[in-house]
Amino acid sequence: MGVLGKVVQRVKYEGAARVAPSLVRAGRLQHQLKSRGKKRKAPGSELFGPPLETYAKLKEVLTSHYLSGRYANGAVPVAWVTSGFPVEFLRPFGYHVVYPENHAAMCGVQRMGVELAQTSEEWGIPRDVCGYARSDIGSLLSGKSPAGKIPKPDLLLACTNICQTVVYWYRTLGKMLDVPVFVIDTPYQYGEPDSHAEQYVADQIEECIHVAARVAKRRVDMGALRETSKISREASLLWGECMALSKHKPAPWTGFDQFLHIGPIVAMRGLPECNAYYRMLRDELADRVSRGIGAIREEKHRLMWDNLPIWYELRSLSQLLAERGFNIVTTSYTNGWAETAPLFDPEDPVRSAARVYARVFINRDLEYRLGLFKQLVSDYDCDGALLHSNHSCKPYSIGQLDLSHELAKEASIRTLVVDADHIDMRVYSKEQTEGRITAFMESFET
Amino acid sequence: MSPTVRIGIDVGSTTTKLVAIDETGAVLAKSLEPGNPRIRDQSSRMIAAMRAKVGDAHAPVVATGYGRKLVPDASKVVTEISCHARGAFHCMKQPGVLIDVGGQDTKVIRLGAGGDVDDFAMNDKCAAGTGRFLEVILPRLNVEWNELAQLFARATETVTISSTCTVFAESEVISLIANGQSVEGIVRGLHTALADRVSALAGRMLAGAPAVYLSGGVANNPAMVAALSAKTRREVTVVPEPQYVGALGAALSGRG
Amino acid sequence: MKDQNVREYLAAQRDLHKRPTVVAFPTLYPREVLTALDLCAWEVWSAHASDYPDADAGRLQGYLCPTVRGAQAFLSGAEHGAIAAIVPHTCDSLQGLATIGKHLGGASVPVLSFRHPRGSDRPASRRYLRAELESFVCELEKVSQRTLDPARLTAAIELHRRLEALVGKVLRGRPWLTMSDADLYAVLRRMEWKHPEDMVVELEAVEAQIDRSVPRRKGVPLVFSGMVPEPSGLFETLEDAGAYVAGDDYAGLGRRLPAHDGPIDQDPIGSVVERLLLMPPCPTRALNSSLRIDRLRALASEAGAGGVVLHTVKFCEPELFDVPLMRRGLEQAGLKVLHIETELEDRVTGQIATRLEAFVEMLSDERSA
Repeated sequence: MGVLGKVVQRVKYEGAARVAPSLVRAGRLQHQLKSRGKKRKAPGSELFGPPLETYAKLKEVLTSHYLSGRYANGAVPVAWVTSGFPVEFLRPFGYHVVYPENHAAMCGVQRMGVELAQTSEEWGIPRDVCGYARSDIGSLLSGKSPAGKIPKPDLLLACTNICQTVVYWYRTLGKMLDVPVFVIDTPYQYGEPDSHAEQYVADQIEECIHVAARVAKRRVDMGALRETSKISREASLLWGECMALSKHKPAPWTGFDQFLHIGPIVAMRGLPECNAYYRMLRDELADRVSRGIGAIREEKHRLMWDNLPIWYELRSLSQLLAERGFNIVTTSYTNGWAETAPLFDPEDPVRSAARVYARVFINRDLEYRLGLFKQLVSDYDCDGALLHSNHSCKPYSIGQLDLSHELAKEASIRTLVVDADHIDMRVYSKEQTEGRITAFMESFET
Repeated sequence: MSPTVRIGIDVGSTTTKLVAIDETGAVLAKSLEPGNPRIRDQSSRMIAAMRAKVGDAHAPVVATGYGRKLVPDASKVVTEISCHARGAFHCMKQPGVLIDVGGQDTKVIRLGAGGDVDDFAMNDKCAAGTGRFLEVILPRLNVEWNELAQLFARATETVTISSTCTVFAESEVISLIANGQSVEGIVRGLHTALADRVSALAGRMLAGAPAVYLSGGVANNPAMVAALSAKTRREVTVVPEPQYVGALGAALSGRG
Repeated sequence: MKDQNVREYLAAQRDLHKRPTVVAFPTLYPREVLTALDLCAWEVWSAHASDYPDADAGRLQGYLCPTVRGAQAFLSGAEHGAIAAIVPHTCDSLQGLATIGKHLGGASVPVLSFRHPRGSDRPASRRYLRAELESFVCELEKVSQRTLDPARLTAAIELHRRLEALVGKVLRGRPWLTMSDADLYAVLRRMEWKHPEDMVVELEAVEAQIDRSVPRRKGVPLVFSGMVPEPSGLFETLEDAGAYVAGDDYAGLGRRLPAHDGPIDQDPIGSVVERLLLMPPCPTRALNSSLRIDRLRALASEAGAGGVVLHTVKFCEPELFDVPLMRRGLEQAGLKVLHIETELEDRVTGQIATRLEAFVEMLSDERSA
């Protein structure tokens, strides 16, 4: 592509981000016009409080992100990264960042997960590996995606702080696309974090910054790095504030809402738009709290959720719970995005990022996790917990049977382990699971 | 003098099949019985009957199928992969990909130019991609095997069966019926789910295959043929006498 | 009782040679350090949960791999008589097992982790591995109440090298050995618990049987790659079908022979780091899969094998994820590939036997054509 072509592509890329909000608004208006006079409400909506207004903004923010992605190739460098990757360091180089996990979650919500997984199974990926990986690879193979066109990466970046699976997944992508893969390995933290592991992580981040600079053909600017780590820290703090508002009774939003609103903190960390979004969300939630508006009409019981969501059942499960006055008020998953961010130190961005990313709860031992659960249960005054035993995600699920038992005992609450998969509907038995959750809820009434 | 009549026996998980051929490979006789756990006794009896029928008390026997090693009269034992390949190629005379959906086993075999096995895949222990899947669930719908084709063709929608685990799928179907979903739609959904599973197994082998053949008991079910054609977007040809392909291949394996 | 002979052997080592037992789970850990500290390793690759009725049942989900479930049963229910257990970082599940053992009362002995760096070999990973090894040695010194003597470590490295050289010779000399695969693997797998000195003696006897003046053994040569060569009945099935293992890339055997030996310098810890980094590619360390493809191609070519069997344990993500890339890479080199999956069951199931036999039939047809 010549210089002019690049400029044109760049204008398109930036233009797409600007037009997206108006497109989303126009779409909404059209929808409102069409449904005018019909006033059809979603089934079960009487169980919930009024929908969050920020939700419309969420759509705008994410649509701009995905829409601009269509024009990213040739305009800006593109990186595909894992959710726990220190993405801050890519921002100063102008990378367009794609999150295959986030994309897989979208596929899950749209119930496209199985179809895409089958495509990758036909290609040869065994069924027993992570469903996100299978769906994502299936999407790449078939070109099918709920997000339209995903730009091809110039660089694949994986961090092992969420699992080892990402290395295999990204290596496979790397082979399929013939794109370099850079892995930041974060050794699992047994007990207190150890200095040699954190030094190792810091060394790799440093190395990665130079790789990213080389691919982007830009120079490393430490000043800019400090700035993004400041933005990122603030974003995580804002996200934490949003979640903490659920300590109020009734909680102004549900854990299932959090699963949807997590999008920007995962995919847009380090960008000012992300922070603006969470400021808006926080203000709306705070306003609800001050006016006593709850996420569900009648909040009788408060639950903690562990592990990833069951994306394809968000609606039916939230309804099932709300019918009996149960609300998920906190989740270990969404909390993870606020937990270690305060460790960011803009004065020492690399070393502090090593701490932020190596100390995420999923990379720490189960004693730590139990302590975290107890803290959440007490902070949010929960009287029960649902632990999603997730076939796809071994590192998040191993130990849950012990954790469930210990948490029930030590926090004096009721707990239930729910067997499912975050994306592969084929291993989920809806009838059995809903029956078990109902019986669990009944046990609160005796 | 080499014998002219040869017998192949395919001891499958649900049925036992025998085929006798002459020196040209033409089928002289065949027989089929539901499988008996006492494989030795059943196979001896069926082989004796077959030998009597073709008038050759010493016709050599080649055994295949999951009970192949339990046939005392067999002079040779060959896996069902090789036998299916031989049997199918003998009938079809062209290379291609053979899908055999049996009672508890599903296999996909890529036949090379000379009918040799180029590559193959088999289902894992789970029964989800086999004929058993339909066998377990159909009674819940109160439909007979011979109605499937009509129901499948009549369906105006495909009701998605999301669980592939046979046990889960059974409870899913029960609740679908309770929720008033049409039987036709469910039948179509079940066959589609099975075709999905089989096609995942076939995977890369289907790419560029000159032809797709179907054998095994399930091949007698036109709904399955339709579902597989739809899934693979290919014409699926049923091998003549699809249940006997393995036994035929075994008989052919006895030729010098 | 299961493993009676192992227990008796280790008890004798403990009582007569003052060599306490340390249990080790898959895959890679510095064995020479144990030898230098006069400890006996008991590697547990394939414990069966059903063999330990006293184990804490129901702590792990059914979708975790049988290796890890067996390891958990062993940790909580076996009379292993060990002073500690080592859980290397092999996969997300074993890492979880380590923390269940360390922090949730899942083990009656101290659990030591050994976190191998994952991903490419870089200067940072070398530095880290060295520090990790030093902290591992410290832990091991603490639980064994012994101190590592550099001279003894040097001697231990030499002993392990002798053993590895023998294993290498035996595996490469396979076509000229008359013993069956089942017998050969029974000998090789005694390395999982026998002291290296005793193993050297045992393998020298096997090596002496290699007679390259006789023709190669008959049968279809195959390369096997995977975690654990179980069930052992696989080898009998293979032999009946007219084939044998001519190239080994099992995680505990062929995959633990360093690519080459460097000089042992003044700093034996540095040599241990080097040795770990020179181990053949294993997906549990998340190395680039091309390296493994190259290695399997080389093994097949050396053994004259036309087929590679990828033998995975159900739910083993590191191995499973490699299957499609391995298959493509090997097929491009004209090799046939069979993927079989086992669950550490006692017997070979009919389906696995059929696959193996059909694979051998396919390769022999090709050879005769």
